[in-house]
Amino acid sequence: MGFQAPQTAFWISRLASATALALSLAACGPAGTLIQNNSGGGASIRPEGTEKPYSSPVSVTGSYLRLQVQANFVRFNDDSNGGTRTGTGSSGNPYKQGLVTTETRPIRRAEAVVINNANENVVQAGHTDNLGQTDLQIPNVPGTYRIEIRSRADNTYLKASILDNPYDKNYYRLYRNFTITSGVPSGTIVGVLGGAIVAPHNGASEGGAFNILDNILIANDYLRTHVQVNDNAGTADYCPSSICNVNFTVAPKVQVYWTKGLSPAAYYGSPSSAISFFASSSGGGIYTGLYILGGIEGSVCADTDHFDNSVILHEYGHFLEHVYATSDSPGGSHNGNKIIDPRLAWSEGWANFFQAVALGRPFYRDTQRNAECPALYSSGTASYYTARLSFTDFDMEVQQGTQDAPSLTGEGNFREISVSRVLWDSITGGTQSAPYGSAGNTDGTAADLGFAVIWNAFTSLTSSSISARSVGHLHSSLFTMLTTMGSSYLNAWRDDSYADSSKPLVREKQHRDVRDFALPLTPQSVAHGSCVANPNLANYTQPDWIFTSTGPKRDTTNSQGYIDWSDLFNTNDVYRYYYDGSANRRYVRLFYKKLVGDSSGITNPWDLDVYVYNEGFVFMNSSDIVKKSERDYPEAVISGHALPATYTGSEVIDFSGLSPGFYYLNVKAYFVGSTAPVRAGAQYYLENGNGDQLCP
Amino acid sequence: MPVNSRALLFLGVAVITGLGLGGWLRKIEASRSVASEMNPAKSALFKTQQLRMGKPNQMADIQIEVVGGFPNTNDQEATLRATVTLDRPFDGDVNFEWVLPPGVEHVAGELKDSVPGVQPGQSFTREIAVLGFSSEGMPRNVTLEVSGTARGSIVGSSSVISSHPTRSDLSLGFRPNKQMVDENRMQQKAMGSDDDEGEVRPTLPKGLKL
Repeated sequence: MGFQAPQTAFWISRLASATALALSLAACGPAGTLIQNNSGGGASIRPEGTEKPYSSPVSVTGSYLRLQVQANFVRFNDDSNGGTRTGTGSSGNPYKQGLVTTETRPIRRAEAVVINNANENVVQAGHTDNLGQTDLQIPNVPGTYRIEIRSRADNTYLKASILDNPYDKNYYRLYRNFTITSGVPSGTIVGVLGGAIVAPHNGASEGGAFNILDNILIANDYLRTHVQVNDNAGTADYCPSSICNVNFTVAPKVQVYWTKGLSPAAYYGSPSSAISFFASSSGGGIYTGLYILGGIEGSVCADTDHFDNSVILHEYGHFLEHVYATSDSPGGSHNGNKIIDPRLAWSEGWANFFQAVALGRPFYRDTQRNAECPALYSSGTASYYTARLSFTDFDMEVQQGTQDAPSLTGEGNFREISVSRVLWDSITGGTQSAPYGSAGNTDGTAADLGFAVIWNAFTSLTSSSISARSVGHLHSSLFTMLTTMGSSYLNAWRDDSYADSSKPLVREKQHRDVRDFALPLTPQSVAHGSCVANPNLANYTQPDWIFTSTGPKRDTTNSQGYIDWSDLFNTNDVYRYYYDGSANRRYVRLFYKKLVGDSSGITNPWDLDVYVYNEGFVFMNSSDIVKKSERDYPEAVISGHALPATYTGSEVIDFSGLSPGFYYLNVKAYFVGSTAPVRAGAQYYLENGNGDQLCP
Repeated sequence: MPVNSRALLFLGVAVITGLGLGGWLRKIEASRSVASEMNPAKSALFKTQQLRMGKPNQMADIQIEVVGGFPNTNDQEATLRATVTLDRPFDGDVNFEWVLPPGVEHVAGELKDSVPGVQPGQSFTREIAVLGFSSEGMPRNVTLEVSGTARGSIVGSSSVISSHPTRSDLSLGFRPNKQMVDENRMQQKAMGSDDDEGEVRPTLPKGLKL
């Protein structure tokens, strides 16, 4: 019995290893793009590797034996003692929280292969069962063999591979040798000496790889259980065949890259940054797949994610979104205590929610260090500690005051934790099985819809007619489905008057449409103020749109004076607009003035600017801004674009030179700088150069 | 250097040196027409955080740099500077502790202390001087641990700097230019920063989900 490290496992953070890596690169062949660096040297992007094929089951004829082996992995339990602190905080008995105790679990549904050591022939292949056991028929031929348990699966329960990196694509394996002697009767059950084969949580830490694999199985098991057509109203996961028509089986294959001691940030040149991520496309030497944090610069006592079940399933949630729903998230940095791009909030909020339902616990936990790390002193608690959390758990039932609770209706669509909570509160309720029943409903909000209809709405987001996908799109789709399911379901979920906070949409202050971000605008040949009402926007006030005097929030700046964040809910409006290339659509004009009825006592309204972004934009990324008009108020009249009566400000976008297609119009209230004054409220509207109104 | 990078750099300098940036911008506006709408102005100061590639929802962002670069030998002093920026609130003091490996000798600066009253968005900087942290010999990792409590939980962040940091991202070959071994710059190169001074990096796929 023994373990074998990945055959070419590497984390090259050492000069001593540089030569080896250079040689390895030289062997990569001509594929890849040559790039230059300013030292005069050059390096190729490493091409994506090819995973070794799965072994096929072998049909055994004649005398056979049944090989039964138990395979387990050990992991730190990220919910040790319910996540509460243990220890006394003394130097010999430090506080611990997070990865505190270990537990042994079966390696389930993983590839299991029996190999003849004499000739390396595969004599049988299959997978472990749900208890981590094999039952493989092998030829009853004397000799020395080994059984390998590999960190991957390709069966009806699970399709996933945990590999060392995207270039070598080596799986992890546990193996044990055994001998077949002569004279054993056919059909005899045989095992291997030494008991269960175990992947450890420390040392080589293959337990990390198998824990990742097990979490993906947990996700698939959850989906198999809950995503089924169910025509029985009033039961758990009710999802009638009139709207739900798919029973989940197993998700497509996913490749996960993990190496102990290595941060995936090393794949883009920042090896000391702790990060896990999902890449839905390839570029820059990063290839499609999940990347899970195995440590930093060889250490597992800074931050790891291979035992952070929430993080693993969060990233897998992104994979599911990519496969089953389509994502428009611009990705990148996000923080649960901020108003962020609603495309990002939706994607991250979904992933947070999915890990919670898959794990059956209403929180998201990210840990650091573990109980086997050296104790550190922390004067704040006058104590020593070893294991800790990266941040306090996100609780799906609790709003955290100023950190993640929306304050205005519509704001929840821009907050990732709010998105997570609204989904959790939508599925949980009295008819659902534990732990999704009412026992854990501490916030008094539980629409009791079950998961199946949420999944159905989620998968409807693949529609090509949708863009800039956010939770508003999900809500819109869900609204249609709940209308079919019946008013009791619909009314448990929403209250369009926003009075009853026991409804998830009300509690989380979310709109069930996209009125606050990427609302499509269509030119209408009507007079200003006469847009035809859009029936899909409940209780929507027609333009003029407004920024009140106290609405916009000051942009934040970094230490160099750059604007690094702007409030997309309060300070910006974003609309989707189709430029058809015609002369009538060449200009988009913004006209604005001081808000009628403004009582601020301030003379000048907010200075409004317009930026045009391309599809898939990152907000405030200069390279995604294709046009802009950002003059200072008061603005001179631009020739050919006279101000309408009573309007005092204008910006004009000239689309000439741009290809016909969809663009995003960002109307931004300028509010930056330490001495920036608050302005009077502003009201505005948008029209084409020929006077056609841009209507929602 | 791309033209817009130069403009950004200039604007950054302008802010730092206290030039009348507002007036400068207004000067540009005076000559603006539809045809000149692409002139740099307010949006020239855009530099979104979203392009950062840090751990999501972290308590604090920690950047460690070696002031003046890595010494060549272990008997030369290295000054390590950590800049800690809080992203989320702690209940009370923020504690920091430098963790030195065997072979790295502390010379000056507080190895551990508490910093009171730091709020999200605020930063503090601490420096230590050490021996044994150089390009010579075996690599050594120094860690800065930042910890405290938040809503009763023990929470924190950490950052590791190696005396022999990874000189390439692992998707590329090794690039033996010691002058570029600076963790801060490495960090800034993530996801298409404008700050690269001449170095061409491959473009990462858009929309990496963290």
